[in-house]
Amino acid sequence: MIYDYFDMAYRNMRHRKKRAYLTIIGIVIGIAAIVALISLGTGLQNAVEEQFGKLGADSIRVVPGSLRGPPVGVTGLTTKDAEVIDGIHGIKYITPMLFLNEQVEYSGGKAFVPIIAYPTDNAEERFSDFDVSFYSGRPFTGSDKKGVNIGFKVSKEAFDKELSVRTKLRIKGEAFEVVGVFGETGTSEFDNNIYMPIDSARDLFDKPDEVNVILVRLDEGAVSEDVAEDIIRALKRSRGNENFDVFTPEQILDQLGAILGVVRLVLAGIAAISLLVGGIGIMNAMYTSVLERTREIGIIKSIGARKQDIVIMFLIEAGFIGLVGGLIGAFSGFTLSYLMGVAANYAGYSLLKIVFDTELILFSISFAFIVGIVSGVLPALRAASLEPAEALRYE
Amino acid sequence: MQKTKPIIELDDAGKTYQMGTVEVPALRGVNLKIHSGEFVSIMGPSGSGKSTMMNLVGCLDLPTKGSIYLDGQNIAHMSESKLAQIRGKKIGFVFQKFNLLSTLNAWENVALPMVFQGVPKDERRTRAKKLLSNVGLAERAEHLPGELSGGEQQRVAIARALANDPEVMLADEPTGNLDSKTGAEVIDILQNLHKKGKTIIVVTHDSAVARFAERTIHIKDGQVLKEVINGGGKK
Repeated sequence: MIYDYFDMAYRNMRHRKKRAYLTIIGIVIGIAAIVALISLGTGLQNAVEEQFGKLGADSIRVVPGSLRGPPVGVTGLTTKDAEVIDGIHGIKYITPMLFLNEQVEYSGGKAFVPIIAYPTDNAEERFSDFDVSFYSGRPFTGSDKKGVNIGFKVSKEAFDKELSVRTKLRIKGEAFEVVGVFGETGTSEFDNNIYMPIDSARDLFDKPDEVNVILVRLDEGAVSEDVAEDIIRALKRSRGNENFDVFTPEQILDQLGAILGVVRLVLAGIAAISLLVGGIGIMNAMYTSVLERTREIGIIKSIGARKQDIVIMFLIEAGFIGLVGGLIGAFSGFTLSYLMGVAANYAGYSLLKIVFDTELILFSISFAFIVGIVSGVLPALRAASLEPAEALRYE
Repeated sequence: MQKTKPIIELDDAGKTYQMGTVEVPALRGVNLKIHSGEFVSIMGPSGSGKSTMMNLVGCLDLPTKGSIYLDGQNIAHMSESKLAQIRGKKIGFVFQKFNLLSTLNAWENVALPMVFQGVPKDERRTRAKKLLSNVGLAERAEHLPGELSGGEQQRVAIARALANDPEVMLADEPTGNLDSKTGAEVIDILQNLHKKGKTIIVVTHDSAVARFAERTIHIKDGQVLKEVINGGGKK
């Protein structure tokens, strides 16, 4: 019996093809927007998490107090703090970093390029932990007092002429030689900066004991929360204040996740509006259909269709529109977001990692079906409540 | 003539329509008995209450006063769904405008009343095709109504009316949209059904059609004016 209703719904839609298509398009747009925007949001989150993983899931960041943004120019931590941390159990090595901004000169051109300074020891290990490879050249070592590494984009885009190994730059009037160019990582953290040995930076910028961030690499098997607590305790004791923050990867991921969650929710909310419009479209089409088929409803009532039969017939039709719209919408939405991911990658922003999310697809298809059914309820009830004698008279 | 118990009985049945604040009586308390196996015609000019009477007799509408008994059951206070179920099983309708569903082909139209009685699909198909061949349309079973002539459409409608083997067949101006030749064919089919024992009720304003019934009930101003015995419904 239900099969017969499906059959009739299908025929009715075929009979009014254009309207069926238009109504379906309304749902397709709504669902495609939802799926695409959620996929993009998730893709962004995936990419961020992955890039964060590159920075080291088994690392802890220690920063000056009340600092959440980029730590350029903020003082607070010192080399003494770095020494204190270095002595804590469970730590493989630490990377005290200085963030600087200075005009860099090359072949007559000038550009402001962010400079990050780190120690020269453990360089190989550090870069491999960060998952950074070398496009050409090598990491700087203790003997490279005037050697720098540069990010991939710095080499290509910072100046009119491309920078490569053995290129000479002038920073604050002093000559530095490029000893290595990083491979492209897709993160601004590594692609857009110049990297300098920290001792050279201290001399050049006259910052003998300042540290902007201390990156702590954990021993294998060390529990980040425990080490973080030890760091906090040790720093409190040595500094005599709490003017610093210690972030574990979990905390940072949680914060990022919360922010991206809100972003996704807002995107989905915006898309939901278009689905609502699609639902109203179904309702409108169904009302029109009820009106057009008044006589037909009278006929099938006269030959024995009960109220519930009519309701089911109309609900199936509305649900069918929703379902078809949902199917097409879900897959075109995913395709759209996938293409945007590909385009973004192609343009050099590996900030989108679009993954086929079966749950999202199934959820959005069922959601479209439900929207269809819900939109069909009122028209279906209207159809069912028609008086057969009156409906038969309708021209 | 009164061979059996009445299949349809109107007991002071009346219908008043509410038009805004004005009450318009369409039928003013009619008493009528139609017996099983009878061929009855209901005649009257337009506005006489003829259509209202047909709706009540066919359980398409409920009276605002009095009672209507269908096969001994009072339908006046029945729920709509119950009424639909009974209607589908016991009454077959033939309309002036055929009223076939344009999206279904001939046999599917004939099979439709069986859908609402829960008849399995295979049985529906077999029965529908048999009914169509009974009205001489076996070859046209797969055609859509739009591809059939008026006379053919009305024969499909008759086949559909017989789908659930109802006790009563109710025809509302069945020849109204047909030329006289095809109209005569339709009357012929109705007479044959009557001979096989079906109760036939024809509502018409055409005395030539009404004459084929055994008994003609004349309606005027919402009341039964007179009943005429036609002498056996001979052609």
